[in-house]
Amino acid sequence: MKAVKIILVTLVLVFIVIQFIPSGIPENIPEDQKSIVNSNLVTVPVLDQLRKSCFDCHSNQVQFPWYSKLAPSSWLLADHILDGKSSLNFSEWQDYSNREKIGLLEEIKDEVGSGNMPLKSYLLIHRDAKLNSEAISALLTWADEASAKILK
Amino acid sequence: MKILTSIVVLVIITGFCFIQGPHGSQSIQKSGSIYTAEVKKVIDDKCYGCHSVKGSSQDAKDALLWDSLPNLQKSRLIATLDDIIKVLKKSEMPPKEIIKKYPEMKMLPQEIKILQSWAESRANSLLN
Repeated sequence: MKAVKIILVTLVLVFIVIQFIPSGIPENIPEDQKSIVNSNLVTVPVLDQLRKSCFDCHSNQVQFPWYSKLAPSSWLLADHILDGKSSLNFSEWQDYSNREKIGLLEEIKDEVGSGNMPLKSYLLIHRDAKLNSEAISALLTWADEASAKILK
Repeated sequence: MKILTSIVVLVIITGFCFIQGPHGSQSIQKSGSIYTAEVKKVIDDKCYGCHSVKGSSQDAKDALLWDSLPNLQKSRLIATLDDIIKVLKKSEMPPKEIIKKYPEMKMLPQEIKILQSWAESRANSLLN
């Protein structure tokens, strides 16, 4: 009984101590001219879908959930966001070259079309981010149209 | 006896796969006009063993087939060229485990430069 008590107290202490370790979650930055929002590539419905399904890991406009303030879940979240933004950051869209933009649009088609994105672990908590077949085909069509606009 | 025969056949087949290795003696099937002679040589020497239909890694074939590259649709071609440039910049190819096994497969700085410049100029010509 005493051993159980010691383990529980230790666990609580460890939990309290790890809260003081910085999570490394990047802070949000207000949207500026570099964002895809301010390009001529997105329509309102597409933008709504991107915000709902992609922006939490692929923009500087993250909707932080309550567990983003609690370690160790905050560490996992930081990892996802940093990883996502290093592959694609919609908030810094205009910093990409046209070649990179087309590369990213083709990658979006692959990831969304194959059902790899949004990540299944993300969808467990963000059910409204799930893309149904209609939303998937709308995004695929959008990516093709956006590439065509860049190539014009 | 049947099992023994199966094992011998399997060992022989596996042996052949290893003899072929990542380089082999193949060359780009249809060189077409998009590959210059020096680019073709780099691809044949360092990439083609895995990135051709005869390659043994499905992942490598899914990622890139040099013979199919000229037939890709414009935006897909630009995206693939962009991928090639990124991979070369990060020195991700050939993979470390291949280089460990076949040190001669490591790309020389000059070869990286040849392939990267070619991919950049192809992509630029498609974008302009």
